Amino acid sequence: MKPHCAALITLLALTSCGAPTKSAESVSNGLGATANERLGTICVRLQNSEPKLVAGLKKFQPVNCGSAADRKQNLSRTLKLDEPLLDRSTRQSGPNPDDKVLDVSTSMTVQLGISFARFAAQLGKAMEDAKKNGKPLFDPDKQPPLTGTLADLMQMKTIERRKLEFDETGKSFAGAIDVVNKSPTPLINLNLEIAGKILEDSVAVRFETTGSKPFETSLVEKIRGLILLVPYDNDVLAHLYVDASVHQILAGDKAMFDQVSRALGGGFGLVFSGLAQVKP
Amino acid sequence: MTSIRANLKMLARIIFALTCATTILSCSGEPPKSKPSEGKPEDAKKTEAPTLISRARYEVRVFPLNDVHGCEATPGCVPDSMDNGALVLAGGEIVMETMSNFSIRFVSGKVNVLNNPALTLDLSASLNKFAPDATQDNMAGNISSDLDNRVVMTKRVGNIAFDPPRPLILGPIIQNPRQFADINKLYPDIAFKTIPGTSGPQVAGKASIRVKTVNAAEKYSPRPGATFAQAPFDVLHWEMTLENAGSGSTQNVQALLLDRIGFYWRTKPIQIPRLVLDTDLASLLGGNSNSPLSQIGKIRVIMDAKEITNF
Repeated sequence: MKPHCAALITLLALTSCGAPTKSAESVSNGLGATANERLGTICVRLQNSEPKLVAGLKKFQPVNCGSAADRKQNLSRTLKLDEPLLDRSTRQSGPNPDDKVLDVSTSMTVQLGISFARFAAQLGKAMEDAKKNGKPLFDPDKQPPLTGTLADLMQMKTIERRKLEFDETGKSFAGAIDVVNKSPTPLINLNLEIAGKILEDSVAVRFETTGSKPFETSLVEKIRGLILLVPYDNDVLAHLYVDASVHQILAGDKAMFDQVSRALGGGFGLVFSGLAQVKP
Repeated sequence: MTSIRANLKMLARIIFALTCATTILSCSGEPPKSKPSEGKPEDAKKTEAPTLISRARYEVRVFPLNDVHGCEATPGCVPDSMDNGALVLAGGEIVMETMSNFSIRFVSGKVNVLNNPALTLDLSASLNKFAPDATQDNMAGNISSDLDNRVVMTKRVGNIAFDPPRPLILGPIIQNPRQFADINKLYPDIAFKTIPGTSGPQVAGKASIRVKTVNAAEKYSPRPGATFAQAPFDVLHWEMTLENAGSGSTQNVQALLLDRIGFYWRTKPIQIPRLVLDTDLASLLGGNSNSPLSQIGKIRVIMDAKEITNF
């Protein structure tokens, strides 16, 4: 394990001791001013530090970041996002009247219901396994099991375009991946730049597409966002912020927004679930 | 370096999920590794019932297929567009609703036969006999794909089970119709039967279905008075045809296996401005040979959208 990675794991482990995991309900009710302050402090620091991981995030402000913890999010209800939407609008994206793009800005904060120590330990163990056995932490070609739903039609894979590398300080890292469909039909085709920073005991990761994709090659025109993992109250406070532009394929703005909202909610739930489990 | 790679894999996984999150189709997650309980992250993966995304009002015209003056073998041929004086057997309107899982149901649709208000044919009732319960996502667990994700297959439509799965639609999200231009595949010997314990007529049989793209860039002109569009636009025209089936097979019709179903599919926004159904009237009437209409034989039903409301 590289020293900086080991330091990261150790750091994460030291920030918390093994507390019982919390239900999402108790988490929702338990997010108070302290959580706001905790998250807000990290966001302010993030805004003032290099590299500028929050640059260009349309609605991201430290005050929003902190207050996000007030929005009571229950992981069992993330299939339908109502509260976290910050902004939405529709714009013309081409000469044809039907060339429209839906822009949404949204964020969500939850506690993962896992102690930070356990989170760090699981991550550390998985990384150790990766080192000793050459087993990847997450196989980019591994797909969720087929469930016999329309979602199965979206079998995607990630391609490592540029390896994740830390800078000389050992606190910032960057890389690049592509997310594409496995089948010849495009659906999704995104080239993502990844940049991250370790802020004391917290981790911030920014992802951003390079350029805009036309409808013919990707349903998602562009996406930019931030993931924050902050230890809090013997738990992990996870904050996600996303600016997404999606080609409008349904005639009604409301129908389109509802579908994107449902998908975003489900996707956020997946992210949180994945973070809570950590190991593959 | 392995650790760095491992880090990247984790990030890739997160980005992957976020990318899924911004698409219309929610991605599937991995199965919970422990017993789910309320409020745990695993709960995020539960499914929701499909929601109504559009309601379309179609003008319906029914032609006897032996009176379409050369149209019989031409996919989607519309008799009156050929100015050949074909007999319009029946006319009226039908309302079709599309759900978020792309299942459809017909909510009303009575057509007058030979302009006689006393002679009506309830098309929606006939077509809906085996329509899925819209309050349940009963497509879950039944959907697969073929031909590089270009054909959606299903093991179940309404209360009918298909083995092997039958083709359902192309797409459903079609970004580049040219990539669908070469589709022409026969799915042979698909056994179908009513799922035990479900209501409705008990059917069982075997059918072969061909899926074929007729024209990947066909120009469609909305009917006069259409409110959802006025100018012609491109559609992907494809059809499903029944092959090697006995004529007048009521069971086939009841299993929604019509002789021909032609789709005129607009890709952006997703709309179906025209549907063309070939079948025999007696089967559509449920094999009621007492009806005088049953003597008419094969018919072509042409449905053109007049109004499309999105929700």
